[in-house]
Amino acid sequence: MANKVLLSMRAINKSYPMGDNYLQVLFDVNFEVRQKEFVSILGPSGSGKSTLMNIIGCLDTATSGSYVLNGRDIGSMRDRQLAKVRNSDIGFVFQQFQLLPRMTALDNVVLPLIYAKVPARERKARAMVLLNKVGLGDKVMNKPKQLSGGQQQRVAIARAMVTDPAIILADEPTGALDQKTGAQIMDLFEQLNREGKTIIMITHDPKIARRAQRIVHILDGRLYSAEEYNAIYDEDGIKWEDKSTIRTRKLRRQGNA
Amino acid sequence: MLKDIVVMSFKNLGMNKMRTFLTTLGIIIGIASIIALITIGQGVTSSVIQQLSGLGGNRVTVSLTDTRVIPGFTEEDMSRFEELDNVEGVSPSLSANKTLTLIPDETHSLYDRVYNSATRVIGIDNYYFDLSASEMLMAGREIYDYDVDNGSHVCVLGYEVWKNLYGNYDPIGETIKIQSMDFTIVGILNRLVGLETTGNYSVLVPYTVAMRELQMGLVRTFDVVVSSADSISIAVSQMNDLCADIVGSTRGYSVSNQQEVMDIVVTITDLIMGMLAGIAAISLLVGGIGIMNMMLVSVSERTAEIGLRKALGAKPSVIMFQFIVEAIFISLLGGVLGVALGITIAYLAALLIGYEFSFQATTVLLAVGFSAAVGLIFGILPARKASKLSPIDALRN
Repeated sequence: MANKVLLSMRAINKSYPMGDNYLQVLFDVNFEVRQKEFVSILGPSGSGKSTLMNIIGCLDTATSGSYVLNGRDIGSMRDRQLAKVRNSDIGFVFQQFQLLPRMTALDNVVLPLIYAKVPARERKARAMVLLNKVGLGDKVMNKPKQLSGGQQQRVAIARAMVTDPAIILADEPTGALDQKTGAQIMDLFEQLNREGKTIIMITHDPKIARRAQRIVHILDGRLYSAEEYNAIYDEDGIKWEDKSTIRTRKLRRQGNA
Repeated sequence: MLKDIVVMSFKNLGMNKMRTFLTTLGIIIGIASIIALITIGQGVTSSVIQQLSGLGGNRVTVSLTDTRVIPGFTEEDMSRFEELDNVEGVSPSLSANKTLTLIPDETHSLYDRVYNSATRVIGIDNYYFDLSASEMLMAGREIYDYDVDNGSHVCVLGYEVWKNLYGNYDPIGETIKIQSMDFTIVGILNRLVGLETTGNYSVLVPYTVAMRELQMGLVRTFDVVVSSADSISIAVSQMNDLCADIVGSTRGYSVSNQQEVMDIVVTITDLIMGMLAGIAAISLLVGGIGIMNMMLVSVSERTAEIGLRKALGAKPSVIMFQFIVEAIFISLLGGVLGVALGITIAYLAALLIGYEFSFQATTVLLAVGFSAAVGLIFGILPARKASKLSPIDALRN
């Protein structure tokens, strides 16, 4: 792949103060994402993937190591500069959609452009383009409550793209959706990626993760290769060592019935 | 962008109308009481001043404080004052309680029998009717200079005296007896307010009649009307000399200018109003704390929203601005409603007390500005709290 490196993490460590000690959550994380890539970060809960996402998304900064996003050194930035990077370079898609309930779909999509100081007329035009793109051109004046889960997530995706950010950062984007709707959202991500968007998706579900071109595995705060990870978890994200107990439980239940 | 955020803040308050209104109530009460107190204070003060000063505040009061030296001023004494430079005229006033008798069969009074009552009778001249800038007569005519010069047996009834004797009947032209002498009623006073209220309970007669025929003695106090307010200080010193000459001593009399009395009245009313407004300001403080409380609740309710806004690129300063604007909006709304309520109260008070209603635009601007300041001050803490929320913690709910 000849595309330029968009995101680069070197020796990232993250620890939180906990009483008198520190709890280390990320250990020596190194990884890169190139332009137009679709990358999954796969890990079970408690693996540190949320912390990693927060650092990628500039919601939090690493304790040590270097993080360069779109040519800018994030590590040395202050709160207000981070806010600016989040606004211009990152489009967030959350598991629970995180739409503002009292605003229309259109106003929700417009919101990042307000913080980007885009003039009012242009804001609306850009938001309309994206709402049409995600297939909600006829629902722009609806409030989130009047939309289905899938539709709400589409609004959120439109909002993530409206500032034309360098990366789309999706945190369990199908986690609150049923299988079929989830698959449709994944189709949308794939389509956006084909059109040139760089997407990073955080998930615990290997099936969803496999929709990406590349999977980064994380476990206990460390990145693992696919082989190492697959030696611990099966293709459904279940630990091999737990499988026997699951099987015995299942048999016991059948025996009782 | 700022405009958009102001609009958003405004919409946010509209979402929670009941709570917003209850929060503004503290400010409404605070501002309303300040406005009402200041406006009532100004109204009362200015109406008192108006009545004190009559037409221009150019009266000097000469009074005898010690009647052991001389019993009173005679008409000749007063004419000497009248001859001074800069003096327009002399307005004596002497009073005593006298018996009023209605004439049975002739009177239209409420009492159709012989009725005796001791009533204050005041001997005055035409200057009396200049005491107040507002119309003093309700009906009939004033006591004129020729009544004084000719010693006419005419009288003007004070408002309460008229009400008591005649109810609502217009008795002008009717005859009434004061000390067995017949007097024709020629006028009725309006109900006087402010300092000069003794007239309400009195019957006014020409002072010459009061002195010569009603045996009310000599004049102990009279007003000297000076031709212009500028020459008052010269006139006062001349009058002091004249008094010393008449009394034969440098003590036992006083020459005082209405201006001094007015200054005292203004000082006292200012002091009282200042104290009351201070107390009202405390209620504003309480209102401000109410706003702070509501904003803190609002911040913790909206942590997810704040986190999201931050994730989407809102800088801490922008979040802070949004919440401060909300606090100022609440406070300003309270201020505007408070001004309306305060002015209404002041207007009703003016109707009840009976002075002329007026309010100053500066008071209104001051109150509105003050309420905005309250919103700003008490909005800062919650807004800072909101701006410092971490987007991670805020989004994790």
